Amino acid sequence: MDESKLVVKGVGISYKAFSLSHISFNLNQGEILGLVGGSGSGKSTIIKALVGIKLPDSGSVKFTIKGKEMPLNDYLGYSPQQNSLFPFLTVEENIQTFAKLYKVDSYTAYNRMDALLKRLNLSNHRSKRINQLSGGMKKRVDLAVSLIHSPKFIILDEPFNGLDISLQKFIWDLLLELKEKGKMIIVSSHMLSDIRKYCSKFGLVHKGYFYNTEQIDESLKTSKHHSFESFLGNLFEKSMKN
Amino acid sequence: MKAIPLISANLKSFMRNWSSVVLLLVFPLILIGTIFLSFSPDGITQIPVGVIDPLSHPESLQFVDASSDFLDVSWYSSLDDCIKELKTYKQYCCLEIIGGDSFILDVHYDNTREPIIWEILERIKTSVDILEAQKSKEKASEILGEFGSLSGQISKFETQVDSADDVIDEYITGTDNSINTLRNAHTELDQSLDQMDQDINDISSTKYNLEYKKNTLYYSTINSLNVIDSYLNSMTVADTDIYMLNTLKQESDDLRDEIEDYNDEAEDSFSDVDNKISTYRMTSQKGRTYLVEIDEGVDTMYTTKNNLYDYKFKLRNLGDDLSNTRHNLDKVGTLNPELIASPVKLLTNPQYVPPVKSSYLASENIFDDMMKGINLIGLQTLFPKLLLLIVIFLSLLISTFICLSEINSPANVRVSTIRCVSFHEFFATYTSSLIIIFPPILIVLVLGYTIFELSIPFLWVFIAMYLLSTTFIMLGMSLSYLVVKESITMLITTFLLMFLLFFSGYILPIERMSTVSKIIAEISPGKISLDLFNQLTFYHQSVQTVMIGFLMLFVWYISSMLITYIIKILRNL
Repeated sequence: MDESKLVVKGVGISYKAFSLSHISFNLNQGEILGLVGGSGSGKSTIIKALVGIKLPDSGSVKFTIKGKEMPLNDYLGYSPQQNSLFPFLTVEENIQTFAKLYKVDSYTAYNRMDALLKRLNLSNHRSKRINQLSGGMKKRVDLAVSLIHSPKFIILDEPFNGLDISLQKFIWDLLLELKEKGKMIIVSSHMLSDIRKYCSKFGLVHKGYFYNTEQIDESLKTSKHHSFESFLGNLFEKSMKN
Repeated sequence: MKAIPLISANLKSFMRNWSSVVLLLVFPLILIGTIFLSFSPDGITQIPVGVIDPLSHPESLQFVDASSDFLDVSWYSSLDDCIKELKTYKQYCCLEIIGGDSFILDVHYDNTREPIIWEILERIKTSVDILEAQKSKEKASEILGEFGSLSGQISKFETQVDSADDVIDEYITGTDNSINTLRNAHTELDQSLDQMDQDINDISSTKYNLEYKKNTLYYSTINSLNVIDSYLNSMTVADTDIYMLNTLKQESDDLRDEIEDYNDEAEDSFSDVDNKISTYRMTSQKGRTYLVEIDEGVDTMYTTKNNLYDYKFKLRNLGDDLSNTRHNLDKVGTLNPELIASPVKLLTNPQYVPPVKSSYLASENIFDDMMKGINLIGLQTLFPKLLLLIVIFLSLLISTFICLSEINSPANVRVSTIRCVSFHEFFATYTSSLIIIFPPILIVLVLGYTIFELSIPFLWVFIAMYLLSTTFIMLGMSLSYLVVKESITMLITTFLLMFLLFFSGYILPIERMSTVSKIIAEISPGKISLDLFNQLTFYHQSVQTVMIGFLMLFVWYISSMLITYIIKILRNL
């Protein structure tokens, strides 16, 4: 194992009238961080700040391998909320294009693509253009593209949106597989039960604040809520009243 | 090189998106083809014009015949009728033929239809020029014929002047001879008179001597006789001797008488001599008067001679004047009859003369030939503007399309997370646009080469087009990076396109602009490229000559790239 680690410390992001602050968490190899929050709470904004699409106003995001800070984006596999693919290119062409962009050599890229397509049940659709695929297929292709360079750090923004249960299960299985392989994963989702079930860490985004696992555990200890779900329910109830 | 997969993705996306291919590649190509095909090699044809000729001049028919290739003539009885039609855009111009000695074409044209109206007027002028040239030649030939006969008459005058000159020479010689004769006569007479005067003086002197001697002798004789008489009278002599004495006395008296007679005769003779001397002196005096008169006559003859010389000089001047006049007339005879008829003439010499098509050369009708030649030049000079319009149009629109497609592509979110990809994205957008633009531009150049018969120096024109295309690709990319929204960007691009076409001098000539606008237009890449193309293609200028243009385009090329990349970085796209 390469002992990679992500340290997010005091990150603050603002976008128009919206702002998020005090985002801090650590993520180690083989851990999955589940990012939860209501619609428009800022989950995607945090992810964009992590992947460098939005520049944070404050704080730091450090990615280290064996204690040595490395450029995060070189080890990043990112799947945005909307499929990030070339719609007029085929499945194969999309994967090959990104493989080249990630500087994966042709031979490795081809082998990995083959394996990924098999694993994601896309082998029969490799020559189809993205705009000819269904939503589920697109998401799987998107995952394939995110994994073609075998990244150490994977971020999936709402990967389960619009997918049926079986496909959701398929993706969770894949993520667990990747976790076992020592990948660091951040997943944002509304599926609280799945997050609770599969993730080793949590991040709650609510009303401009980010609560990490430690803060949630602390709150659970001190509050009358003894479960994560009841804690969240209380938070949302309060916000509705306000 | 991360740019290559991006270029590949861009090109594949573009080519597989039928709407983009149709709208940005096929449609412009069809447009280009249509534009090219729409320009008839016969130039402007069947332009409706009205002709008003109430007096039915024969020249008007000749004019209409000469202009039938491009004019569709309608005859009107009055100018007002034609003008009414012109104002309803049924006629381009009304040609009123004014009568009189000359054929005057008064053209009333619709100046709201520039610039085509200028081409029509130019064609009409060409037709009129041909007629004018023919008429001028006829008229001038008549005048030259008259000049020829005048020259003959002047030659006759010259001969007469020469004869008069000879006669005056003879008179002068005669006068000289007379003067010499008179001078000789004067000299001889003068000498004779001098000799005679000398003789008379001698005679007179001799006469005076003789008279003196005679008087001396006479008086001495008389005195002697008086003495003798006194002696005789005083003598007392015998009677015998008285006789003697008386005889002596008688003798003395006789002698006295004889002496007296002799003296009287001598006196008479002397008197005669004196008279004769006096007469001779009078004659001599007359002779002297004649000498004066001869002198005066000689002077008069000198005056006459001088007058003759004066006349001769004047005659010579007259002869020279006649000779000069004849030479001038002869020169007029060698002049172009057209120039005599129209001494003030504007001769325009177009410097770009392309080779005429062999089919045109085969034409026997010089008018047709000329018109086709003009049309070919018209199309050739139009070609650079068409080419550059297409380059600007395609560069701006395709780069905007490619750039916006890339910015707004779903894949862009992922691409933007790849480290140091910004420059590769930028390069990929530029290169993809350039690759897509290249074939249509090549097609247009080949069309120009084949249809318009332009001898295009492809290498240098390509470099110029590359620099221009890059500048406008960068402009399209800058706009896309700044605006991002597709619809607004395309709208702004269209407006900008119009603005750029205006400032490149493609729509209106920049010569009509104000000083500041003109300066801006002069350094605009479109104008620089147009000048470069024209210089390289029409006049085959060397690269050294047009290097300034290339350098200016290169400055645009570099600066537009830098600005565009800076905008991309600042916009974090």
